[in-house]
Amino acid sequence: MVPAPRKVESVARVPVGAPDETMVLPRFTDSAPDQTVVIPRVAEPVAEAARAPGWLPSLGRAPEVLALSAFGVVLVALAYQGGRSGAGWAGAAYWLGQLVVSVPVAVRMFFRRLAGVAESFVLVMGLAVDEYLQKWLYSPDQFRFPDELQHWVGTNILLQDGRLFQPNNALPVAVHFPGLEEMTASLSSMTGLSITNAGLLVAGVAHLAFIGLLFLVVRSTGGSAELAGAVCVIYSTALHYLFFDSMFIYQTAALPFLMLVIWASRRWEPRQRHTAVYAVLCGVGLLGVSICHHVTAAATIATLGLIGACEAVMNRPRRWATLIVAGAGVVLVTGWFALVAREVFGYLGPPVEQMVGGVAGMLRGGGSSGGSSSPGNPMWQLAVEAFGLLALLGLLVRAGLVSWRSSGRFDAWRAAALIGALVFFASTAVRFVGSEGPELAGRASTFTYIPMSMVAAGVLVGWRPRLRGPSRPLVVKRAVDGVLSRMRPIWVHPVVLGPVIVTLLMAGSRVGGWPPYWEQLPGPYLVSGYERSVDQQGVAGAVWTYDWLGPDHRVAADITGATLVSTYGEQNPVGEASKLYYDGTWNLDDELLLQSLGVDYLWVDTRISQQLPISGAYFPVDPQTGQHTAPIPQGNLSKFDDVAGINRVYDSGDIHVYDMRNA
Amino acid sequence: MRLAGTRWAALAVPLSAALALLAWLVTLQHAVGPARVVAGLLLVFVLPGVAATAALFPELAVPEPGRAANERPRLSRLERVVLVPTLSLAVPVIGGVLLNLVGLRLTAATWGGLGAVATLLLAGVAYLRQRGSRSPSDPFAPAGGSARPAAFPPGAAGSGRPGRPAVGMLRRLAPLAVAVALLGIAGWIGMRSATNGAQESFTALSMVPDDDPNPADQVRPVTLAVDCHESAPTRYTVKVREDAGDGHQYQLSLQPGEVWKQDLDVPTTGRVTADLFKGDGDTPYRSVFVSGLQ
Repeated sequence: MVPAPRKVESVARVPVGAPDETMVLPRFTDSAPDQTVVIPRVAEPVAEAARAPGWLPSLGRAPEVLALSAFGVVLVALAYQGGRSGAGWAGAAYWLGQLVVSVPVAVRMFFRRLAGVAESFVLVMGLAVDEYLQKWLYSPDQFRFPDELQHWVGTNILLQDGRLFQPNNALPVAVHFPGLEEMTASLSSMTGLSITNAGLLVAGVAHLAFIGLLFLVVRSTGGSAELAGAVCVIYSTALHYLFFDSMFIYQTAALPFLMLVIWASRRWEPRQRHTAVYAVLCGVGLLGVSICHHVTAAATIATLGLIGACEAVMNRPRRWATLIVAGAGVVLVTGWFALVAREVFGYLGPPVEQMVGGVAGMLRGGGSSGGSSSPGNPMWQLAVEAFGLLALLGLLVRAGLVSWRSSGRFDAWRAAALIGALVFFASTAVRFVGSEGPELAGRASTFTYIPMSMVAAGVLVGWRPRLRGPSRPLVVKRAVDGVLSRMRPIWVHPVVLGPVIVTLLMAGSRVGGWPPYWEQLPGPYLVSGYERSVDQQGVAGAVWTYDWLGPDHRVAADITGATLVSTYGEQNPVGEASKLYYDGTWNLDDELLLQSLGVDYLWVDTRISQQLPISGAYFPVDPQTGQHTAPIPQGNLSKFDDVAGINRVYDSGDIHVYDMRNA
Repeated sequence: MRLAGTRWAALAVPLSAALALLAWLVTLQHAVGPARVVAGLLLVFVLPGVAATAALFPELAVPEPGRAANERPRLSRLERVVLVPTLSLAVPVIGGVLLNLVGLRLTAATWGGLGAVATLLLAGVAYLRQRGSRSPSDPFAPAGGSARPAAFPPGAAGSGRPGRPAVGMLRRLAPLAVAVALLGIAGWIGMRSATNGAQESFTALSMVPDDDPNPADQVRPVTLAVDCHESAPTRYTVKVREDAGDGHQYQLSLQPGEVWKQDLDVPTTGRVTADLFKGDGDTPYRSVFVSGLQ
């Protein structure tokens, strides 16, 4: 939690930490309402400073901690290698690696003996680098996740045409948000690097910039180095932090601009002309986020609106700057949506409608319209996830309790963080709504987990063994105090409690986030297994369609085929043709469906007759999602060989391509 | 050291402008690989951000407590470090849309020009704003003479320490070097296992009808191709047969990654099938066909 310090009025002028300064440390403790906690900063031993050269920031123990954390990355790399070769120890190495990457940084961050801002910042950025490398190591030679491939081909189109807003069959809406493609195309064309390598660099830098700005946002609200570091460490346990937030996708490019706007809006004061540069930065950030990603743009406005509303209601004198920025954001983003990206309404509409319908259904007591389509995690993983959520809930309750008791000055930032944390729990509940619930909840957590991390970090950094309880009845107070006095164990110390909770949350995010448990490690081909479905044969087949058939044909395919032909093949994928594959014999209905969908070619991957779909669906639009009990019969796929007028134009063993134009 | 830091801040503006021009020129030279990579990285991630940060915040440090509130806002070094890549990335994002709007084609030259021109313009603004804030007695000192970098403070707060700073620095940074080495090892393991792991071996056979220049002649052109993705040189036999039983046979040997092509004229009626046999096998390894025109 990062409330503005009680005795500092302007957040823009809060002095930031240096080793020799005593600074205000805002914290969620149950001290007397108006008491400011002042903690003398503890610097690293003098001997260390004496040995370091003058220009080098005091890094404390960050180098040693990061060396240990880097060893965890080696373990994860070995685990991935083991996964590819089917080694039995790979799972254990993966989890050990995860612990070694995160825990040392968390322990150091909660140790309360940081050397200063530099140590905290270096630890945070080091952890972000280590975790980004884990994502890269999963698939270091090429992009495999569908969304990454969609932006890969978008960048390819930009490089070929030299124009923005050119059609992209793989993800039509993305052409109106070309920020990531612009960054990558500029780097690729100037350096000569491949799109993949340029994209990995762009995504990595954007991810690090996002984390750096999150650190700055906490600092700008008066948060100490420990608090800023703790927020970033806890945020690294977000469901989608490890993969989605650092993938080569347009959200990754937009996130730094979101944070830039929030950071700059905190410092802009319309009545002080000299702060106008922060308004400029707000404008740059709003433009950037509008051009990069629709949902992040909406989240930026929502965040600014929440903070601005809290400031307008609670600050005396009232502060309007953030609301003004939010208003500018509304104009800019809706303008971009209305004038440039009208397609976004059709793209975002159906999932939102489904979610609203699901929530309405649950409220009516009728249950959700559909559960998760993919197989559930093992029980122990669900338990870890549940305990992590419970821990967060406990921290939120404690933060709320402390805020309520010290309500002499309930500042706007604290209120916004608490409301944001509540939104996090509301969005977590969306997991159980509809078939897209888990994905929507995960994607929302990228934004809602930021205030949750602030609340959790605020409580943990300022942790005290127990809350002050003046309102308890005497009997209860004596009983509770009696129990607590006997329990006063070491685990209540932040250096233990903080890392324990971070570890729990990290484990929960790994089992509940991305990649799903069945592809936590890279390995052999899986049907409908996202990254695990992209293999050399599929890529070669998709490239063949581009080279031999030309682009923009309508190609019906399974989930993986649709991804591959729309990206490597630059074809127009048809995801609604599942009936063609499910029918045991070719009939008139199939011919009519073929004509109505305008299918030119049929992509048949015969492996869908050998495995069940690991993610629950064989096709992009699959009426049997989550209901499959056996693979599609082989005969359903070989029937195309006997249909008059059809050509089988490609055969690579598992993959056949049929020319359906004369069927 | 403080003077050196201030001098560096003052030099950053002309240096970034000069480097931007140089980098643009280098990116236009396709022959110089590594230099081009460095130049491109600077133009995308660093130089525009350095110039933009300097233009927006000509002063180096945050104001000291008690300083007048109406002074120009200042950034700590940490804030500058974070803002540089963010603002650099904003240049191709916003600038690319503007260039597209005015009809310029987005090529390496225009991207490089965008980065370089943006850096030059922002450096110019920074120069003008810095000139207005310098003390006449010290051309490198920011306004007010304070350059206390509040975040990223120097490691040795006290000056005049004894000993050898180079040795101290090496000792402090040795663990970081270990961390970098470990990450390098992890990267090597990852790349090696991803690229040298279980490579799939397969061969693709295709037969694609081409445009028929003379539809009335009862034959149509097709192109037959064999694409070898096997792990070793492989011998194949391709047999093309019609419904009537007539056909051709081709013997070929392909290296991994090699493609064999053959143009054929096949009848427009009846099915024409091409079977691929691998090595001495007598069952078709791959099979494609074109049906007769209806």
